[in-house]
Amino acid sequence: MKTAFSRSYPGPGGMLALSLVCHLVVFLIIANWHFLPEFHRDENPVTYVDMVTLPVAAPQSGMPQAPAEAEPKAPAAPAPAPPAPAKPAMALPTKPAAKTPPPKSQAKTEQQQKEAEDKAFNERMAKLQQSAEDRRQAAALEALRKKGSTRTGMPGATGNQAGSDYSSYLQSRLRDALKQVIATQTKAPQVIATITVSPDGSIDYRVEKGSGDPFFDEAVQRAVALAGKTLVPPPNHTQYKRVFRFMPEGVK
Amino acid sequence: MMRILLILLLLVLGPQGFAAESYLDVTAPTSGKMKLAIGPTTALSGAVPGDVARELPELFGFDLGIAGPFEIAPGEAAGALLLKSAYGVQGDTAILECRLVDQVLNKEIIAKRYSGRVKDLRRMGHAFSDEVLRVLTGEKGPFTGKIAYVSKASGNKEIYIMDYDGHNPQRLTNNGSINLYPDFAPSGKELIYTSYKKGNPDLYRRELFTGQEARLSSRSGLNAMGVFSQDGNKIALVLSKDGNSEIYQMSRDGKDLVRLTNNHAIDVSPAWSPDGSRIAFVSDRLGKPQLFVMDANGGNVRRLTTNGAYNVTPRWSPKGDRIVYSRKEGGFQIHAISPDGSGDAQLTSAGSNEHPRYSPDGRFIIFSSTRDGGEGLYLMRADGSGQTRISPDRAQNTHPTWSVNW
Repeated sequence: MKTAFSRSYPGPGGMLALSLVCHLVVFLIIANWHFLPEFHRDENPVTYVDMVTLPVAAPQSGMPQAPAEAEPKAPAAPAPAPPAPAKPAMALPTKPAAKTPPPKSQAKTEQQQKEAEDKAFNERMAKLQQSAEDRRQAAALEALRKKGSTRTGMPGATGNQAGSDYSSYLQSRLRDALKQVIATQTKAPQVIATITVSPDGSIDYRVEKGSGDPFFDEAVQRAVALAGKTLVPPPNHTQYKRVFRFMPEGVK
Repeated sequence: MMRILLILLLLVLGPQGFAAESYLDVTAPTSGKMKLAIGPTTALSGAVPGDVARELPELFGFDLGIAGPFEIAPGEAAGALLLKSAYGVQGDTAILECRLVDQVLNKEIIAKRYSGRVKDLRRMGHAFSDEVLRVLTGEKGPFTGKIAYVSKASGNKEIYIMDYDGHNPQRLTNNGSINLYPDFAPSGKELIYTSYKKGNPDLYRRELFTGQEARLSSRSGLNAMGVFSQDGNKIALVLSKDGNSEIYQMSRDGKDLVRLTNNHAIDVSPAWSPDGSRIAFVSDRLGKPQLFVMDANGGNVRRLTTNGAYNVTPRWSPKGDRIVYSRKEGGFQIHAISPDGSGDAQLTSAGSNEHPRYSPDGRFIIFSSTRDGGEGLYLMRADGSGQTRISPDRAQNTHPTWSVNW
């Protein structure tokens, strides 16, 4: 018994080495429990953030979502909302009915005549268009991921609030609308207004400081309403709120 | 404890305060003008006569285009306000229905329905233009006012009256003599003018709607350049009964004559300030005709113009902030100056331009000019822009004056 024990006993040096190994094992286990960050493997949380914030980046990229035949636009140019903006109907007594749908019977007859000839062609075209659209969307998505990796993964983009991209998008939409309706009577009017976009995309504004120029105040109100007609809702269906300053170009 | 509370307060309010300052800018280039589309005139019943369908959109386009704040846009331009009109006739009555629609906010800004004689259609249109200006700028337009002027269309200098845009000219005097210097009473229902019809240049007052006339001043010599004060109770005029033309004031009935200037020089062309406290006039007391301003009682005379050797025919703007006049520089050119003598600005440059008068709202200046040959009537905005001929004919037309809205 004594002989067997003596044979297996490594001696003080061996015991010291065994102790070091045991401590090292424990240390590595602890390190893997995230107590030591330098040993923590990066599980790439950016992927999660990107997926959440993609809708935020979409409007800024200027990629129209609805029209299949639309050409991808330059990233700087903001795009309209996915649904094609319908012209507002003016329900006023003196306005004659604007819509004059073609006679149904005539359209139906022509469609039936062409249906047989065009069916195969339409199917092929649909497949080609679908394929082209898939490729286009994949390319756009990839471009957004590359572009957004420096923005959407930034601290603060937690995925449950509107990021800076929606501000740029809304700013662009307001600028386009203001171009159409701007009018001034004074030289340097400024309006400061808080814009609120509801989760459903409806827009509202509150004037914090008017310009004193009735034409420009009115123009800002009309620009907000005009922009609101084709507005994409804020990301994750949250409410968006920010202060904007409206003024003619070149005014300081 | 207070420090902790203060820190907590800053932590809570700080981000919001910062956010309020960090606004995003939204800018756009602008011409300053509001887009306004004029829709075609539609029918309330039956069909719209061709001349009406053409005339009304042209009328609205002219009124609101010359007004200044609008850019007349084609059709239903995006972002533009839309002016719509509909016309119909019921028996002897013409009906004009007008609407101003905001196509962006999808709301009706103003709607009016006018009825009257068929021949009053233009007047109805001008009335709606007045309303459009009122609702969009806060100040009603002057388009239903009338222009009185001197014309040689009949061969003699007679007083005529017309719409502000040159339509519907109508002769008021028909005495075959010389008739000059018409001026409307503030009510727009009376007119004073000087006529030689009895040999001497006397001052007359005519009630426009009854045709009744009274001779207000028939003193020997000149009885001319009469102008109503803003309240209509006084008339300033030029008399030369003592051999030298001087400025006087009297009641609207020609009584209570008061001499305001007493100088060896020629004093002419009185013009009331809107508040009635001062009178601008022309005097050559310093050698050349220059503009002067005095108190309404003739005191406190001071020189207004210091540039130019020959400045005449001043008229005060309705707001009292400018005085328009003619300066002789070869031909005459129209200038405007502040009552304190600052901000002298030349408004015309083509031809010879005289007899400037402000519209009752101060938006426009009407004047006579030789720029197109002959002497015709022209209209421009108070800043000199938008100069447009409005003479109804090629006859010599001068001395225009603009009434308040009828």
